[in-house]
Amino acid sequence: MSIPASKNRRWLPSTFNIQPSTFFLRLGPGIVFLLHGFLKLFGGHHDRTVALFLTVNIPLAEPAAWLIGALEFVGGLALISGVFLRPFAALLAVEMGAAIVIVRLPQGFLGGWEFELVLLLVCSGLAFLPKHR
Amino acid sequence: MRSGLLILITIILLPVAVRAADVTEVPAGVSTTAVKAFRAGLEFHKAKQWASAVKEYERALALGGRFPEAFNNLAYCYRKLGQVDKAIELYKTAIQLRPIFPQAHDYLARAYLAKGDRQAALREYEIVRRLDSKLAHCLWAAIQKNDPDYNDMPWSN
Repeated sequence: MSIPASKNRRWLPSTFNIQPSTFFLRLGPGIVFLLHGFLKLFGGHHDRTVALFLTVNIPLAEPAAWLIGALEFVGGLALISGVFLRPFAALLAVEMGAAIVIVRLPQGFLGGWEFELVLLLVCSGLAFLPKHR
Repeated sequence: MRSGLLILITIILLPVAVRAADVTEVPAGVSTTAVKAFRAGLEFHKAKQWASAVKEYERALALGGRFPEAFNNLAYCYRKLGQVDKAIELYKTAIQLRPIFPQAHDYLARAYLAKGDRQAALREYEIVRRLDSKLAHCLWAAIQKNDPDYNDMPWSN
């Protein structure tokens, strides 16, 4: 007797998203955020991040840098694994929007905010995914 | 697995290390005529012929070379010519184009120092300290001596 699909994954919290259909879409930004978060938290990029935040006058630059590092690291894991996918995708999209407006705009589109825009759009798409897709 | 991860991190960090060069380099993609003008500006810069250097750097910018090093070096020359406010604006443009640009932050701090704004100089020092310890050491000495010109062009030696 086969188990209905809905019962089959009943043991999974509703926050899980392990469908392979979006796997590659999640993997790209997931790896990028995971590695950037890793570098900010453990890879010696914390000071660079604080310097950047001081440059663009972000208040509480030191804790903000830890927070953003943690968001990118955990968010990257969330995108790759599909766990808490939509809330983290939404947060990362907001972060990319802020990065474009606060840091990247004066640098122009090509070689400036093009990459952040791609991440913003992909994360926005993931944030609006229906459950279990 | 572990060595693979190390290689991956090295590949990611390599461009960062390469980019952390000095103010004499030109990023890829700048037109050759702009690069020529920039290099001519550098020669005048090293010879401390500030007015001629300004002319060449401005020519480089007019030829489409809107890269941070050109703004930074132009600002430096303007500071040497006594036009500190103009220099500050140009340093800010350089930093807008590349926020992680230790030399521009260092020179901006020195420009603030030349203007007598020690607080702003210290604010920039806080940024330089996190980006380049050697540069920060020189800048700190300049702030302590209240001398913006103290050891401010080590790359030309």
